Amino acid sequence: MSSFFKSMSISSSGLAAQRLRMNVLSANLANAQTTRTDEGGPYQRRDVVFSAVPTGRAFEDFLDGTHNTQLRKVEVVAVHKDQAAPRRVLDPSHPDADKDGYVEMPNVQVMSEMVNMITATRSYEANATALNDAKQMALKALEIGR
Amino acid sequence: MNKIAGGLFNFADRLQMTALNHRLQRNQVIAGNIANAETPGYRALGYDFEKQLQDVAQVNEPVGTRVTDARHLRNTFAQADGQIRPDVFVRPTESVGEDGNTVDVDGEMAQLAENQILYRAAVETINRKLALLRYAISGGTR
Repeated sequence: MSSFFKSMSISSSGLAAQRLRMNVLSANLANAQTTRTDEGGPYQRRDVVFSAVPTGRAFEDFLDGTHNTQLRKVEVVAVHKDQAAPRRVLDPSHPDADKDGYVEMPNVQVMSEMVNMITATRSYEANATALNDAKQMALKALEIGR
Repeated sequence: MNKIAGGLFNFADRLQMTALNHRLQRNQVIAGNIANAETPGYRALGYDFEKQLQDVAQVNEPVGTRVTDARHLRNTFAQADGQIRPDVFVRPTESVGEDGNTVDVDGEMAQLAENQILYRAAVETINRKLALLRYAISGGTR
């Protein structure tokens, strides 16, 4: 029965999603002052879109009828750009300043990025705990009859 | 499970073995909830088998009984064939945040721990039963 591993694969989908989110948040923080990008203009902050998707459609699940259509794992389906207006900062000496002396800075709010980062860390930990739990159960099952 | 060693394992033992499978299923449901704790619009799932197990235990019949006649007594939660097969259901709880997500991570973690402990308890019970059998087989020499 592959049930132990299904539980683990759901948890690991959560781990992967939160790690990807963490990467995106790091990129936001790293580019909090970036005024030049390939697309032109200042950096726009990115955010992830989570989606609940049906868990693995493993062949053997269909075969033994345990396939449960309600069970969901999580997946990052998109990384979208925050369309909020850039921050305008007065800095006439900056090479990217416009004729009024204002520079368009990224729409990254360092504080809210930090809060998001803490949330991502906690979610990651919750998923890691769930994964460990499934592992403990599997190991305990090996002790039956010992 | 019901066919092997019919006389050695009594009803209570079979109930414990059934419980193991259900705890495993519940672990999956909780893992899914935790993974989707931040998915907008996700509705937390529930998995309640204890109530059904209780009803079967009160009937005091083997878990594997089958209903072959319309006049047969049947426990209300079991399926038509008398088996316990609880479905995963969407838990009717209010949304915690404003994104429509109904997962309460603290509650899920508590359930995870509880489920884990009860799983271990079931394994322990089965192990002790097996130890008793082993003791009897060896003629009480060890």
